[in-house]
Amino acid sequence: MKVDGKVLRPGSVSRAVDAGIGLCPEERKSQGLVLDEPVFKNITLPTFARFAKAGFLDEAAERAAADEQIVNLDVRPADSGRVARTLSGGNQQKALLGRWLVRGCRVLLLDEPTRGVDVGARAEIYALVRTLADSGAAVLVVSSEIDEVLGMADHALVISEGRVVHRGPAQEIDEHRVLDLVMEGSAA
Amino acid sequence: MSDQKPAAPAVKDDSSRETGDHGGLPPATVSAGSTDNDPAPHVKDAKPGLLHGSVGRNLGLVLALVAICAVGFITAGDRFLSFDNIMTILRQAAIIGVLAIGMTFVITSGGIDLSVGSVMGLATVWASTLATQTMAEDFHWIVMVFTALAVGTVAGLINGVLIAYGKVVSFIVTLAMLVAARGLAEIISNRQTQIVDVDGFLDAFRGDLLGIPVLVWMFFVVAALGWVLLNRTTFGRRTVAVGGNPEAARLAGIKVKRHTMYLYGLAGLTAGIAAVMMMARTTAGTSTHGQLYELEVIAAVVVGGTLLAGGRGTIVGTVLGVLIFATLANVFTQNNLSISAQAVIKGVIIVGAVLLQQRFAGRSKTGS
Repeated sequence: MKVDGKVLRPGSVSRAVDAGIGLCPEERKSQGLVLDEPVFKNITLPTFARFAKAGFLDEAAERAAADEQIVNLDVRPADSGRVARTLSGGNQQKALLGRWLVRGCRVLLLDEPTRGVDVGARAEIYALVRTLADSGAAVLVVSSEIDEVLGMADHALVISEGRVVHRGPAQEIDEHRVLDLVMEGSAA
Repeated sequence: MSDQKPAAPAVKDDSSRETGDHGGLPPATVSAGSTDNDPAPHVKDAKPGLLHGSVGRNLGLVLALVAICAVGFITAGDRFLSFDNIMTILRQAAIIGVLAIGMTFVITSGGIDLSVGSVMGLATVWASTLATQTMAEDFHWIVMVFTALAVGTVAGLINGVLIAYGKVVSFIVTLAMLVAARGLAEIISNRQTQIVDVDGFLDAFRGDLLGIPVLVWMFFVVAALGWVLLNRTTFGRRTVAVGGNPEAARLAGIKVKRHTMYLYGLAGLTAGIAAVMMMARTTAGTSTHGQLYELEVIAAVVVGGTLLAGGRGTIVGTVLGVLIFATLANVFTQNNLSISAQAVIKGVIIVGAVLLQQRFAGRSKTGS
């Protein structure tokens, strides 16, 4: 696999992160957030070492970077010192997304990005993904909500029972067709 | 929404051509009401309950320490409050204290190290054997110190490798190390106490500096370095993240396994430092040094407020926890009370402290 023309050896998460790949996992609480830590530490979890000088943390710079993301993404309450556990699902998800925007990412992997997220925050997440893709980053969204994928994606793959049963531009397929494909797949 | 600047470098590719006629969910209509004008006015008061909580916890520990001191003063008077006696307390706290600093890191990361006491014993035996059997005229005491530190660190790293890469739980690995290190110490020393009588060593570590014992200085310095390491460095941040949510830390690019290995190496290093202090205090190296120290150390760390489940650690709390137990022991000896009664009180303190902490934690979670 290549990121920006550089070959990435598989198997190392930290090397992948260094190469500019970010992941928002499906299980926000068990895989994404350090729930008892403040929001800003969650936002800078992949990047705090880059703010640090000779191993010493620069929390002021981290807070500033986190505040920037909080304003950008409209995380509420806009308080980077608040413990992540106290945020709503949608705001936790936005903070997780913000994590990968601090230093920018080239490839963003989103696994069920809107699970447990309220309608308003959903729309913001869609818009954010769109702007991110427009800026040149590759965004890979995995979702079981069909309209979400078709609405957001440029290119859609339909996967049924572990096999890709369709690939093509997202406009050329609609929800019925996706469901048909999935049903065919499981029938065969 | 439109003025959002994604931080990714704007290397345009042709994916943007599809944005205009992009079908499906139109985000703009929904987001218009919910996002636009909500400035962030609360940036200033960005440090609410959490800081207050930790201060509150430490304040409770200070009060407990003051209460024990008050009992000491009432029952033993000036004998308790004399400078000499206070130095005695600190000297006795010093060794447990140094071990407790390393243990704080391990427990903060969600692990446990049961082997610190016996690794310390092994390090005293190894270093003192070297000193007594090398007999070379030009043997410098610094070699002994480095031997003790190296033995401790290597033993700790072995723990760390087995836990991180061997994927055995820390409780089992360090329990095995507890038994094995003690056995190895007995083999090396032939179960004999080796008197440390090296030129310069005792002078260097048994004396006073500015009126305060060198051992106490060592405790203070290790504690101060530990505080900086835990609260101000990337190492400390990783430790808390690994303890708070190891999977999240891994997916954010933190090398969890390597860090875990370092943590146990650090605990081993503190065991090596404690071994040097022990040899200085007792002028001997023996395989029985440090028996049951692991329990005292863990008790002090937990009473100090570090969560056994990981994710939260406090060096200040650990130091206070160590001082509480050392002062308590002193008050009992001053009054010629039995060790057994002391043990009962210790047990009560441990349970009481944890119960109080749970109430504190429960409150800060809801309130903030």
